[in-house]
Amino acid sequence: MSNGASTLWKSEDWWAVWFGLILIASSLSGSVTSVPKIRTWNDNPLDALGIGSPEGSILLSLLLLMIGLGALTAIGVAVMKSERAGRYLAGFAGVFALACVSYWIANQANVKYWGLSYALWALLVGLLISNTIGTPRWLMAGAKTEMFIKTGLVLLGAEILFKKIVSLGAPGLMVAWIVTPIVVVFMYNFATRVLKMVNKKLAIIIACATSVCGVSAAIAAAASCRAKKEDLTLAVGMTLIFTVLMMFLMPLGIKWAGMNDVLGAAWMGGTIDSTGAVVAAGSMLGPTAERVAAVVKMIQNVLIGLLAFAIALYWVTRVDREPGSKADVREIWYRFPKFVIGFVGASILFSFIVVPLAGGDFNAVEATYIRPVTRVFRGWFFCMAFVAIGLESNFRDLVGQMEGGKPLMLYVVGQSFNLFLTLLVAWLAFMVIFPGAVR
Amino acid sequence: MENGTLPVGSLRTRCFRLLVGIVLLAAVAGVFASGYAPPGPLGEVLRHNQVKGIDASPLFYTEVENMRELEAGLTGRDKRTEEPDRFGGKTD
Repeated sequence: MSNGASTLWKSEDWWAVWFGLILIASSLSGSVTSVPKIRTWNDNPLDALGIGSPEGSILLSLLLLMIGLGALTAIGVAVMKSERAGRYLAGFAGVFALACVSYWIANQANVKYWGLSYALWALLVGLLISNTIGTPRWLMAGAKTEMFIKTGLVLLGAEILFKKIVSLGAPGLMVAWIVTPIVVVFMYNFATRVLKMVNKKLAIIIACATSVCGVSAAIAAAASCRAKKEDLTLAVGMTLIFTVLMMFLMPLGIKWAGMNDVLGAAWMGGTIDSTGAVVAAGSMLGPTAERVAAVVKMIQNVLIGLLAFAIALYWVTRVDREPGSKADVREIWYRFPKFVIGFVGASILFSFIVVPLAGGDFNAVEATYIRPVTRVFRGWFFCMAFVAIGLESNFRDLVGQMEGGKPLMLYVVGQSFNLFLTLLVAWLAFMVIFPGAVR
Repeated sequence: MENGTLPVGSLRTRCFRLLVGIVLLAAVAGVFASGYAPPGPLGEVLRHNQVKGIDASPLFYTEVENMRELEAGLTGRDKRTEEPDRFGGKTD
């Protein structure tokens, strides 16, 4: 066991915290006021890079971003001695380029309408290389999946503002915060006790993805319980497919049943996995429904930090504990995934320090620090993480995770329970207890 | 070539597989990018997204570009969005 201060610069968890905090500090200090991102394009693929546009090309900015992020993370890689800095930088450039390709596909306007996010394309691009020609070693050197995920999660923490939970008052809180933990506990117990799934980590990732917010929750859960890449890939694949299906089918079913728009919107906000799909499905029922669905989902999104902390704590104290051993505080601290502290800490920093310092105007904080800077940095890290997962995975390993279809069964049963319970609580909250909450 | 992962076959076979894979990925992406929407009720949401320009891909609420307006519409903070940004930063 390596103890003491040296873990602060020798462990990947702590480096993720430092990277995240440095990037957050760059935003708060005003050193970085915007981060380049691949633009939405329609007919001309070059529009994605701004070539020929009045705003100008983003090629140079992208190059600088790649150099900046590469140099920053290379410091950690070199100090941790997990790779030679030169080799890492060459691989990082390759991974970054593949992330650009993934964003380029995902940001085509018609592709966005389908709800197919960059995570899917990044996975596919990585899998394409690893399962055909094979991932070359120079590229593999830059595929630091866990480091990218953990850094992305620390940055995601800045986006979780606790004040958001009161955006829709008590009914919103009822739908988003009462149902979600119940579904997580139900699904985990169903997986381990009824389905007898051996892979408990996969079970908790699927449970979180189903009940909280799809891919983001899957990433947070996977990192918190230190799951394998294949577990995350499988859970993300399932959640992306079912999200599209639910986005297509739920508004039709709600309209067909003649359900109240607000009730239907709260139902979709609480059950469809990703926020974009929730907004699209809610919009089918009208402007008020679109707002209710989006805000319910947003309140649910805030749960992700607490959930990551709870999973990390549960795993170190219960699941990974040696049989018969007592988990004392020191042991728990040693095994606790430290990046979770950065994740929750970033959320606390923004919720209780940055926003109050800005006079409580969290919209201004979002518009100045989060949306143009930390959110875009986080997107790049997650996109590179999914490329890296694809580069390190092969289809045979993924098939091996299927346990005879148990993960799929877990998703279907869990989502059905989620649909039933969310509808019940949404009806109670918006129709019975607070019928005038939304006008 | 040194490989990090080891798919079976000679380099030539693997290059051929890569080429086929790229064509397949391009074909799949091309179908989605073409603006095709399934006929009938199944394509209703997609057509609605196309008409209204709704991006259905965001994973997290901060990625929804008009989230601020959606939230303000429910919480009555519309007037705040009209106020100048105290940090002088741009707003979405």
